[in-house]
Amino acid sequence: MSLIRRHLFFISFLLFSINAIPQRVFHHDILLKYTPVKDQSNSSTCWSFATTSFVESELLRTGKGEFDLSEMFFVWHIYPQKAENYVRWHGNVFLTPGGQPHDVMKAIKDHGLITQQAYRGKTNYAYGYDHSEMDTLINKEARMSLEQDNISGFEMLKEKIFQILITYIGEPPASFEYENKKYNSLEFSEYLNFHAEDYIELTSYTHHAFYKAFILETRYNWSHDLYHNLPYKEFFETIDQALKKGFTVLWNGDVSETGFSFDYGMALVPEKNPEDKTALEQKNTFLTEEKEIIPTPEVRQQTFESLESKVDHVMHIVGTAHDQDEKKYYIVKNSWGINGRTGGLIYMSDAYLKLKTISVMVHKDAIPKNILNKLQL
Amino acid sequence: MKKLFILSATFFFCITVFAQKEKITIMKELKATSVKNQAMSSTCWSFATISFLESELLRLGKGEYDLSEMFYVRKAYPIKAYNYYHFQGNSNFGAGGQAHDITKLFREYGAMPESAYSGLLNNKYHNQMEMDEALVNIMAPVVKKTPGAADEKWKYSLDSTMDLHMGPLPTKFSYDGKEYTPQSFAASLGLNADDYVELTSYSHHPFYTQFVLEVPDNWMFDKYYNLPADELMRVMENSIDKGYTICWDGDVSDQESFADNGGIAVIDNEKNKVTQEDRQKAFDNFNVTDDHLMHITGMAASTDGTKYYLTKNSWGDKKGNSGYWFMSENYVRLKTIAIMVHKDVIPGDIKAKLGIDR
Repeated sequence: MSLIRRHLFFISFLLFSINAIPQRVFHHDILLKYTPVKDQSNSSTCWSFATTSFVESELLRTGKGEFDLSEMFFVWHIYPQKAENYVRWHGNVFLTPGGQPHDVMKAIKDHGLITQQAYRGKTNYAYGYDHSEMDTLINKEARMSLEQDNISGFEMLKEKIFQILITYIGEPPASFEYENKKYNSLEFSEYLNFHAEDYIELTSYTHHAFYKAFILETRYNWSHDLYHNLPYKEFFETIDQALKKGFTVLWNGDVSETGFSFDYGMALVPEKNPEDKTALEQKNTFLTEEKEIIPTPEVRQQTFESLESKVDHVMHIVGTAHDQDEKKYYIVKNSWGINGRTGGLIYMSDAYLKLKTISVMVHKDAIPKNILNKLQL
Repeated sequence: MKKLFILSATFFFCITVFAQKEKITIMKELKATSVKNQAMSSTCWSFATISFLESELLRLGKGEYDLSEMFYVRKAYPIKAYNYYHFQGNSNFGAGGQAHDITKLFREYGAMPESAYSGLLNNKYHNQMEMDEALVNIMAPVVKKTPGAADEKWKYSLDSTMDLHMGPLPTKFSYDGKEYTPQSFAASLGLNADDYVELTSYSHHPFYTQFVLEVPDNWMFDKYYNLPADELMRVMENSIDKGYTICWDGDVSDQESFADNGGIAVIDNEKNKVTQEDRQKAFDNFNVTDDHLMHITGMAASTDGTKYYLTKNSWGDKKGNSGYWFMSENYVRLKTIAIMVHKDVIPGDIKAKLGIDR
């Protein structure tokens, strides 16, 4: 079903491109299995949507079949932890609806998985998921709890957060039916034979030692988790090797870029600033061949240090492609719905990947053996 | 952690003191260097841990050293600032710290003797209040800047501000007629930073695992081994028994009188043994926070059988009992946030449960 829809989109995109003036045409080199593109709507839950999509692809890879798993189940379990953590740190940690891929893996370890059918979470007619009010309320509740200084215990705080969650996203069921069998969430992850501990996060920066893990300095890493540090070449080689071997890759990085266009479904790092471009050049950014910044380990580090590259989105890499000029792209599944010319996929240039990827999550087996040995995993 | 000491009252030296009309006698006293004074600086973490390492050097027969506390203050601040900047203001940027700051910075940057860097300039006592505030003021606008527009002037601003208040850090120095760098000096000491671990005891995480202790001054986000309270106490007893001192992190804030209590720290209800639940409750409602680090160097007991931990403070030798405090066992059970010990003092069965080899 999803496959057909995807191809239709691709075909219509190609047809459209025939009568359009210059246009990027993408030829897929690797396209791994993935489930239909979802829409996080008005909620800061990309971390849950992308990681869930990644888990769904892993289930397809391991032959478990196609599943539509609940993203809100992870939001339900992680939010109270974030609030508690915020108060315990006396506010010295980011209290955010956002998160990181390991948040989902930890929730799976502790609470398992549940189908979307069993727990969709509340949506509203206008926006679909709409968490702005909920996020504000939870933030307020945690801040109040902190200001009281002598709080009446974390159980009370969690109870309040749960009440807010029940109002805005609803409570997940204790058990649910799947193919006429009853499961609870932990039994279901067992049934899926999914091992959250097999997934690790990799990054590549020179301000820490290579082949060691360090606490990635991004505010969305609110739980202060470890990321394994690889040299530039090995980091990107790992991503390529994983895709070649049939493993999808979970992407964590920066999309607040002028070279990122959801409408065109493209992500580029143009060499020229928008303000230095003529109107025509500006218009053609995603249409004609665009000259991009040449990525190097130095530029990568520099943009991290200046916060030009920082975490603000999590997406899911499902393949590679090239355009008519033989330029390489990564096919990235987003969670902003299927509008846009590419049906919700983003064609991310190689340069964009190298400069704007903060970290990735992969299955251990996707990492080349020699690199895995160096990481001592 | 950020306890300040203001020079005030003078106390008389006495080996035995009286608590609740009971006589306290020191049962065991391990070697320690002279009592220092952090004065008007929030650097107890450095003073306590350096004192602990100086005792380790004495235990190992390396002789008596006076290591520089301020060397680590210089090394810690830029990393704290880096974190603060990259977490976009969502981490703690201040003068406080934890015991692992020293062991980690020792491993990374080495060590210096006090004679090479006291950070005092021509002053008799440390006074870093103005510097701490200046550093916070440097960073405050930096973390609010639009990402991408930030430059790295703050790194130089931090350094020059610290130079101004504490003097520039030497890259080379001589000690006992020999030339050293901080790295070569640290190597000459023969201490292995990896030998030291931090332990805590709280039930909001599973026991016998490690977790990132949620206290603001754990700005390095380091992990602490989690033990039941009874076993944490066993580690401490065993440590003193075996002749190893302990670096202590805990709370001295609730008793207004801690600074002036005659060097004896007890809890209100000494009769009831502090339970795991008492510990958790006090931690959860912030009655017990990590506001001070000290150095436990021995054991004492009163005639009524109460055990006390002999504790070296960094408030000069005029406070407490010549700079030492007696913390009752119950006080320690309740007020200890964490300890740092040499791995070797952890009893075998506990080590096995924690998964610490060797």
